[in-house]
Amino acid sequence: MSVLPLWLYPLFPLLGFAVLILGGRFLRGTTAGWIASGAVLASFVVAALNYLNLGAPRHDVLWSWLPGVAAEGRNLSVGFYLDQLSAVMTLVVTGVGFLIHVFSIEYMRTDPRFARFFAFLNFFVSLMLILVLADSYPLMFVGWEGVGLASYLLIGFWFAGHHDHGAVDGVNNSNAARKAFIMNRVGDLGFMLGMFLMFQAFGTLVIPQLFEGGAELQAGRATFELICLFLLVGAVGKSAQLPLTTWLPDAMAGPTPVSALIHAATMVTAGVYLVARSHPLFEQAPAASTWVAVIGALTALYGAISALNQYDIKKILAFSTVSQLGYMFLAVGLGAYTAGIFHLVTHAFFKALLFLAAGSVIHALSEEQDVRRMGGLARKLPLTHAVSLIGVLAISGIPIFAGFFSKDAILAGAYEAQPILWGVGLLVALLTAFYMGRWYFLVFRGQYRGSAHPHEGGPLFAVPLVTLAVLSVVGGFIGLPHFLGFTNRLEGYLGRVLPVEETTLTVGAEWALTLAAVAVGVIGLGVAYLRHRAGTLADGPLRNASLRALYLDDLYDGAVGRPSRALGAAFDAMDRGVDGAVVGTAEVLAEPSGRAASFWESGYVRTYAVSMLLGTAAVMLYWAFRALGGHS
Amino acid sequence: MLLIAGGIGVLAVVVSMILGPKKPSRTKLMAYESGNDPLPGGKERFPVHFYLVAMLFIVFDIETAFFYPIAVAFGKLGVFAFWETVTFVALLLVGYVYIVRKGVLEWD
Amino acid sequence: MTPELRPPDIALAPMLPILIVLAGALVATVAFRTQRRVVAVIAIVALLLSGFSMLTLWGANATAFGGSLRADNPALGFGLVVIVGAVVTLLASMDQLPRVRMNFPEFDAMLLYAVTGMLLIAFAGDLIVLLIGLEIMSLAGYVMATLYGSRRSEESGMKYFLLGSVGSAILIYGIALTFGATGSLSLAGIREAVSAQNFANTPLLIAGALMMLAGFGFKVALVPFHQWTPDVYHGAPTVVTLFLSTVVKVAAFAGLLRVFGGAFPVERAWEGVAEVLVALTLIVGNTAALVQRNFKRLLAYSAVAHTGFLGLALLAEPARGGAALVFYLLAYTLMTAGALAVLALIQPDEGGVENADLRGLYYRQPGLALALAACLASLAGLPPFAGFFGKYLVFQAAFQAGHVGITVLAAMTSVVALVYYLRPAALMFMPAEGSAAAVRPAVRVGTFTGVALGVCVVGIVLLGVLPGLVYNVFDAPAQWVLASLAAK
Repeated sequence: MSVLPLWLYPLFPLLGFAVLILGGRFLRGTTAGWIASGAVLASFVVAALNYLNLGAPRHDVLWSWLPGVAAEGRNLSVGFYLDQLSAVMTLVVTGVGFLIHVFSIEYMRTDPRFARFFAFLNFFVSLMLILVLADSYPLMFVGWEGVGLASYLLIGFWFAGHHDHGAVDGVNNSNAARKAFIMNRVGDLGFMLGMFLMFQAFGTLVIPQLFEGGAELQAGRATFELICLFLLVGAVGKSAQLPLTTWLPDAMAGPTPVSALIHAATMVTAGVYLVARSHPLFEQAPAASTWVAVIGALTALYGAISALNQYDIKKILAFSTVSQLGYMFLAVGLGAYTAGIFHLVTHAFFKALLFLAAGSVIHALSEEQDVRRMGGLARKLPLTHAVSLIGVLAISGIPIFAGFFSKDAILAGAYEAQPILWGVGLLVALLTAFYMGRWYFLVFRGQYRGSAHPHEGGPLFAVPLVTLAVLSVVGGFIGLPHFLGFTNRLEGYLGRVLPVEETTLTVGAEWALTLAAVAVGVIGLGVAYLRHRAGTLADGPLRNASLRALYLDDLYDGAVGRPSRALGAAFDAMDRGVDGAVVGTAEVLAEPSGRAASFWESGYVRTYAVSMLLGTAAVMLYWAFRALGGHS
Repeated sequence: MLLIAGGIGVLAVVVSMILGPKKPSRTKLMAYESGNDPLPGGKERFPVHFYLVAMLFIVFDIETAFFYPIAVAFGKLGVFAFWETVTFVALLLVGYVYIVRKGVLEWD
Repeated sequence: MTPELRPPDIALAPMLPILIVLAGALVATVAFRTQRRVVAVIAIVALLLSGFSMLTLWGANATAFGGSLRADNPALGFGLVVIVGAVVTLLASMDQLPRVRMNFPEFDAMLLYAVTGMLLIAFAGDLIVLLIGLEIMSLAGYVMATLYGSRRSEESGMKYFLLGSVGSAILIYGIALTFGATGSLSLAGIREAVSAQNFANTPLLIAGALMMLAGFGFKVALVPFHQWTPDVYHGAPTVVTLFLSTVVKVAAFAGLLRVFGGAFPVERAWEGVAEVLVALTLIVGNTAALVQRNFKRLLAYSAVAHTGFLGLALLAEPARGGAALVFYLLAYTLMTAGALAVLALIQPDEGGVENADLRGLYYRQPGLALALAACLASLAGLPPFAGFFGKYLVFQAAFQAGHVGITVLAAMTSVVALVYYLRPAALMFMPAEGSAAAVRPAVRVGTFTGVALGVCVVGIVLLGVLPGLVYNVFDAPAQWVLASLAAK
């Protein structure tokens, strides 16, 4: 069987989006949810068939698009490119996406804007597929911006407040959405500049032309480094790495399935995908690659520390996501691309599982999100409890669960390349096991501390949860380590497009590393258990420093937010006319500069005219000084 | 050089501003220091029609001013100049029709 | 013995688009006892005919008056954008002007006179024609800004007039100095003199160029020549603001490109200065827009900010930047016109609306809210709207010409822009409880405004998805080089 046309992938969800946005109001009950799920399922079927049948990479060109951006001044086309890397990604996006769609049918059942929610979800899946399958960087950028937009719409989905939380909640939600969008745009800037530079250096932005056929890219070392650093900025924005990390925890304002789909499993991993996709460039740029790894390690640590003392059931998971994304960056930065993608896949399974389980808990407790008012839910929500336990074990790196294999692969890679980074990774693994243990014990063990009447959700909760739980158990087997005598299936598959590093570690060393990783996992969970027994678990270590995420948000507000507001106000005051009734300028500007500004703000035509003439004079003087400086 | 030149200019003005003795008196502050006392009615109001008619007068005055050289050299200028003149007059005529219909020239 | 007067070569074809508009303007002037609606239809027909006649001139490279008037492809491109903007203005005005008691045919007449001037600028082959066009456009613009009988409108018109005179004076001085340095007024002649290094002295030429830059800077609202913009755009009737902030800017940029892309491509000393001005414009426009509470004033600052983005195209080489400029101008015209047309409908008076009053617009007028959201998204530069590709193209053009620093700055300020565009956009979709605007009755969207909004929204979507439709037409580097003219 041949490979199916690639435009089918985004087509189905896009059709779903169109149907739901146009005809949503005519659909009764949960029809809209089923249409959306069906659309993603159709894409999944295509993705699965193509995954199995894919031999050589496939490149479909659709229609002529951007002018003058391809080689030899030809027009760049819209086209899709499927190789083993994008095949794996599409499977994750559509597969996990489908399960989350099904979950959402139950979760969002009572929402008045049910159809709109699924329309946005389908829109997201469609653009994510475009991002993954794009055959050129500009098209990838369109998907990149598009998923940002979808994320904005979905984080702010409850902009009007949710249930009875009221309007204040709504404003917070839309602020969170805007913050996410804007921080992403900072990253997009890097993406764009990297793209321009790439075009200048290589004359093309088409991925197969750039990377296929083993053609050596010709450019200076500095060019490679610069391109890669710009791309890194883009990846950092999308994947919420330091320093652009603060939007992701806020993004939890969105409905929980959104957090599972966009802010855990798929969109935030786009940065990892970008680095892996551009690996021929990063291989030529050792310094930039090191930066990727260092940023990854620091973010992993930052996320883990911030997760220690959170009280919101979703915020813990959000910081955990930040931390795990750091792991992936660490891996791809060190050249262990398959390990990074491996962790991406397994993380998609267990983190989606954990988020959906959290959603199930929140649903059961009538929108309660504070873990201090939970507890003892193991008896009341047995299914949710069971799958959560699997998720926790998976993320903590306990053997045979999926997270164990992928985390082990990353740590082994890190040890080989740079023992310090390995040390950081190991520390993060310890912290991860602890805060996930804290999460688990606070939610499911002990006595129930709330006042709601928990009840298990319906079968539409159960099916996705169980499926993801199974995947979180067996998902790791696609990438079994060599030293145990297995063949690594994922590595074999991805090895056709990504470089595979032959390990130089002895079997003994690998064993030691594995045991160390398992040991810290067990210790972390053990400490959590002991403190649970002692009843001191609710207050995590580091108190406020952790709760306020190491004060990063406050720092940004002080360093960027306030000055830019003041600057804007100052420029405004400068231009305001008589009608402006400039009050409060003095508050904005300090006393001496305020007096200077009042000369400008008078609103009289004559001062405007004077400023124009002065401007002209300044223009001439500027040139004159430059010319003089140039000649003397 | 430019700096020095500019600097001297600025310096001269600034220094005289600072050092120069200032003894203002009523006579000194008058618009024409040694002439007649200005009449107080500088701010008298005119009907707005005055300005309108004055503006229109200028426009048509210039039209007439153009006609003199054209008339003098008409024989040498040929057909082209004739049609150019016609176009010019026609454009002004449109404006003239407009102001007449708007009642600008009705004085009361 | 005086020599026989030799008539210049008068080719009617390249003048036809201008003459049609002028004829329409004259008809509108003397159209007494005619309903304004009829006059507006006549005006639209005249504009469409003019646009059609431009299409027939496509590729012909026709000239008249010995190259003083050039109907080459760039001119036609700018001309067509002007026509599009003017038609949208007229469509929006049909339903809007009766509501504000501004429903007289003088509006249409003035608009057509202004368009006549703009086409002259676009078609200009020498500085005198350019200046005449600029003055015709500006004078008509001053009148339009004052048409609405409110104190605010009169103040804004007066400001515009006085400051515009200063701008013109600077421009004329610049033209004079350039003429003094090169001995030529025609763009091709200046270009030749400059490339042959055949001019009196360099400072004179540069001073001329910079003064022209400052003069044009006033018209397009480059910082520090921008201060009239917020006052005038805010004070003028909204439909007039629409016209001033889109079409006038198109024409002024056409002039800028003509002069600086065409006549001074070799002597690039102005470039460093222009770079600074563009950088200032980007910073001031975008940051000042951040703190605006009035939506109309916000759009005024947005117009300043977009001048900065457009200026990037000017910094690039004409061969690449020209096409990007036309594309961006078209996109800018459509999206700004769309946003202001919606504003014209929903505002209680000509002062615009406060941002906060936009709250809940979606639930009262879903169609208008969606149209406005699309326009704002496009202004913010989000795909798949036209604004995204406009930004992409100008960034790329500037970047490729080596202006890396300013491209980075522009991209950064475009992030800032996102903030102030998203705020009103998000407010529209919030429930309107408790805001004063909630009790205001929904306005009826007239047929003509509907058509205007349709043109804008369909345009920005279409240009966003298939930018090649427009861009490819202009993306022939050769046609942007004035050398092809000089050879004639």
